[in-house]
Amino acid sequence: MLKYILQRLLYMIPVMFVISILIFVTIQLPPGDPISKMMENQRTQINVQFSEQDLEMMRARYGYGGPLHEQYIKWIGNILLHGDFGYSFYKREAAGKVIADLMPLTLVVSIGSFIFTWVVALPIGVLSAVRQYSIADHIFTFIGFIGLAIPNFLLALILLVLGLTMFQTSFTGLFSSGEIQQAPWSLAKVGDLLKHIWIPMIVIGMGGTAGLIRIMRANLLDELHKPYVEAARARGLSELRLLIKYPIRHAMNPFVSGFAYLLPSLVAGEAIVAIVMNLPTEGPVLLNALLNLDVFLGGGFLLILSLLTLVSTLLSDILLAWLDPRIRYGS
Amino acid sequence: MPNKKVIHRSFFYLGLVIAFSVCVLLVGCGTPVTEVATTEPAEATEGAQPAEEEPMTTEPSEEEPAGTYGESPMLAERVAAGDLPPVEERLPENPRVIDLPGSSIGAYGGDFRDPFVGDSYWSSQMIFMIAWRGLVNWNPTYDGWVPNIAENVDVNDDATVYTFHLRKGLKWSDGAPFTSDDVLFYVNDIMANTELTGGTIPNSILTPDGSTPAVANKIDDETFTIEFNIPYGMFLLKMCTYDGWAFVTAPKHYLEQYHADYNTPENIEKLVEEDENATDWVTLFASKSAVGTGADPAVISRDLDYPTMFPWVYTQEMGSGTQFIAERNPYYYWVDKEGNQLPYIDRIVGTQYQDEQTMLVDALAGKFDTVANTTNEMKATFVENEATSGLILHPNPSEGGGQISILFNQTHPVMGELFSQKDFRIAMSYAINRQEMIDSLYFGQGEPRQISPTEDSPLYNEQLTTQYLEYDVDQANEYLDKVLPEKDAEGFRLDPSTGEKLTIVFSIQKDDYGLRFGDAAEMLKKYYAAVGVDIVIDTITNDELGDRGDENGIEATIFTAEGGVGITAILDPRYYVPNQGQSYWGKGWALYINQPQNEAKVEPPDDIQAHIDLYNQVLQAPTREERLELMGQVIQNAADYFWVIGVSSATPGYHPVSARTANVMDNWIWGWNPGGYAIALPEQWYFTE
Repeated sequence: MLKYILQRLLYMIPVMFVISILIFVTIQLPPGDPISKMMENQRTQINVQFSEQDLEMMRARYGYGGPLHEQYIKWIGNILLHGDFGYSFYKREAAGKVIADLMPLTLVVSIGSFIFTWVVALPIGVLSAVRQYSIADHIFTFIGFIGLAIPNFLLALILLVLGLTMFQTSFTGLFSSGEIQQAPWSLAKVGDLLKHIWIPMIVIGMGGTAGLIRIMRANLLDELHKPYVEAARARGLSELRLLIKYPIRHAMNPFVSGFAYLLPSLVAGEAIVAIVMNLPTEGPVLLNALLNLDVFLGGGFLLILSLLTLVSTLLSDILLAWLDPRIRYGS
Repeated sequence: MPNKKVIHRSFFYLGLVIAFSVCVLLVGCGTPVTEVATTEPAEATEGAQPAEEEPMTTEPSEEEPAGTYGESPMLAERVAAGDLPPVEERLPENPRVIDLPGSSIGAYGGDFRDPFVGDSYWSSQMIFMIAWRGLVNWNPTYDGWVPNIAENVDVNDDATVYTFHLRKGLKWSDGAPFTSDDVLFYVNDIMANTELTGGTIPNSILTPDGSTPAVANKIDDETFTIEFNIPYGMFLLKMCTYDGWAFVTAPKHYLEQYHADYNTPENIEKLVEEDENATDWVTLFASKSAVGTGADPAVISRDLDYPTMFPWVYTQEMGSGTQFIAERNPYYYWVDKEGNQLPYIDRIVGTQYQDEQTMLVDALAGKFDTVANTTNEMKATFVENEATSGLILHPNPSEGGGQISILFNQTHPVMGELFSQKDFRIAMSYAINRQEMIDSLYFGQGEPRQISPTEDSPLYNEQLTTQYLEYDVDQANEYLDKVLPEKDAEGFRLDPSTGEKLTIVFSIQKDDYGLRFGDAAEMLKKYYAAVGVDIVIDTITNDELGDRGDENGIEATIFTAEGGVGITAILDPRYYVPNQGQSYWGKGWALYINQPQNEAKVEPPDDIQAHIDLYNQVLQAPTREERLELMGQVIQNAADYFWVIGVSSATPGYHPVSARTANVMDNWIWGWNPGGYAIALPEQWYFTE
């Protein structure tokens, strides 16, 4: 097992290498560069004219330019050797600092939504399968389909409008005020966060929850009528114990392998919701970094998110192996 | 363990991650919810009210008995704690006294809560709260300049030498004295340093004809001159606009450590090493200074130690959060008529949003004291929700010479030949049903008109305002038959040079400042099809419009309509003289003037060059009468040539300000030139609860 994990970790290196090249190149595909974007923003803001000469001067100043591969080597070299993600032209700050500032809350929101998804989807999925075509199943199926069909940003907008019209308040942000948000961490701050985080958690987790309920229900239905279940039942095992010990364990497999997809999709879904709900997470900053061709900030974010995806894939594989002896011994 | 399988899995992961990355990218590119630059005061709200240019020498009651100044409790505490000198020592000998008619003495304290979409400096209202506070200011009615940091300015007869007298005892926000040296540092050491400017002559109000930078000379600590190579009668009025702030934002005592003329190479070397973003002293200076070539004015919102002369100074940067805070400048040089130091409001608290609708929801829930970027569509929502939002709408007089402009690029390499025929433009004007556009796009607010100075402006020109306004398809066809006689089977006119169907590409900027460029273009498509002219609408971003403009690649577009009220036609002549970045109707000529190295530039023919020269004379003319006379000729040329097509008169704007905010002037003039909130003197706003 240890060897398997080590090997998997080793294989992540070339994968990350290819990903980093793709990220670097893709961000720079649109015409222009961060310097011209930066100058263009100034031009539209203060109505000042810049010539191509000015741009050249700025590029020379910031050491930006030269062939793509040289830029790439410089970029990745700084990250690997010095942990330096470069300078964000869009945020006018070290990209590494921006990422480090935003990542914790982003992960809190994403992982929170993830836990919400599992905690809600698992029991409901089981219930729907065991009591197939019952009223509860119909209700949850109905809600599940609505959850699947409504994009989560729309759900966020609807909640915002409801909050305003019914409660004369707004559900935006993760904290009561910007001051609390920027204060150092304390018990009061955590309390304030807990008061606000549940709405984004539900909004972001909604689609995933609905999907997982459907998956769990379908998988469990497949298992419930298999002979081994009948056999166990015939031997007098209690219904609950039987359910947990055998069919659910089997039905969990796709659930666990879904783990790998869930984290990236939550982070991506989070981006849009964060924009709508004004959350202080990476989504909006990443979007703007990409719009501004800010290769260092955008690239840094994508690199870290890719790494997270790889790690979560590995985790899900390990979990699967632990859960299912067939997979463990198969390898 | 079978390696093959693992490799196989690795490719699977790779695909997954790529798909994910691409998803994120697509989301990034495809979602219109976040505009990078939603606030563009320069484009959206430029122009303004009657701007008489008579220097006002009488500032209401300048004398003030010393030693009786009031100050905010917040500062009194700091004085008591010994952190701050007493208010008498912080204020200059003769502070600027603000006594607006109808205003009352305010109470200190409170946070002005300001929501915005975008960047903490440019898109929040901070720029309007601080940047229009130069050596001289607009007066509150926007009809002349008043002394501000300078208590007096003498101008010689031919308007080449300006002598500024500063208030005595002015201090930067860190307490260091503000003297002539600070202005000299900006004019001589920053704007005229060839290393800092990269050997070019920066395009600024210091170089009226683009050839020679102005020179500043010190007389004593409070007195200095600025000298130009040619007469420059518009200088002081230009100083009242956004351009004026840079003169008072180069704190020499703070910036000289980064300047090679003032610090030793070894010390600078050390500073360069410390700065992420610098490779030599030039890049070091550009990254530390708020002023000068390549510098970012928003530096003052990130470098909290940067001393300024502004009413509020940043005390908490936004960084990667969503909030910034600016606190009152303890050394601000304004007082009310009873000698209380201004501003009344303690802090400006800005909250950043990614999405305008979310911001609106929070504003309607009563979280804020203003919303700066408002559209006509939002107006009803604000009115309906006044009870919960606590926001009252303040009308702002319309400022533009119209609502939108229809611009055919008469210098376009391919289409220019057709567009430069006046008959074509006349036909394109007759073909528009303006009343229908006004009714369906602008809530019926506005009258059909071309773009021109407004009726109460001294520059009003009836011909330019009213020519070719009627909706008259027959006339349009008649004029078009002269230039595009051939038609195809469907009735569309043929391009005479190619013999194929003529198609005009309208490049429409997506970010329309609430002016609905895109919807207007759709209506134009209908009207122009009715007279046999096919147009294609290409919706693009601000950047793309700028980039294509710089290649002179825009065939036609719809844009804003500045140049209406008062003398704004002189301050911003983009639709009368082809010398501005947004003069898309003569973009090639504008490039010729502004970007001489640009290969896409088009040399103006003699008559256009004469017209441009005439405008430059306006800027030089030392007296108001001469300026109006010459500008009248410029406007008359614009009327005779009929370069630009207008649709409607400008609809009045509005801005919500919370009901608890007192001393907010009625009908203040909103615009980039008067400075948004700045002209309404937010320093003397205060909270009633």
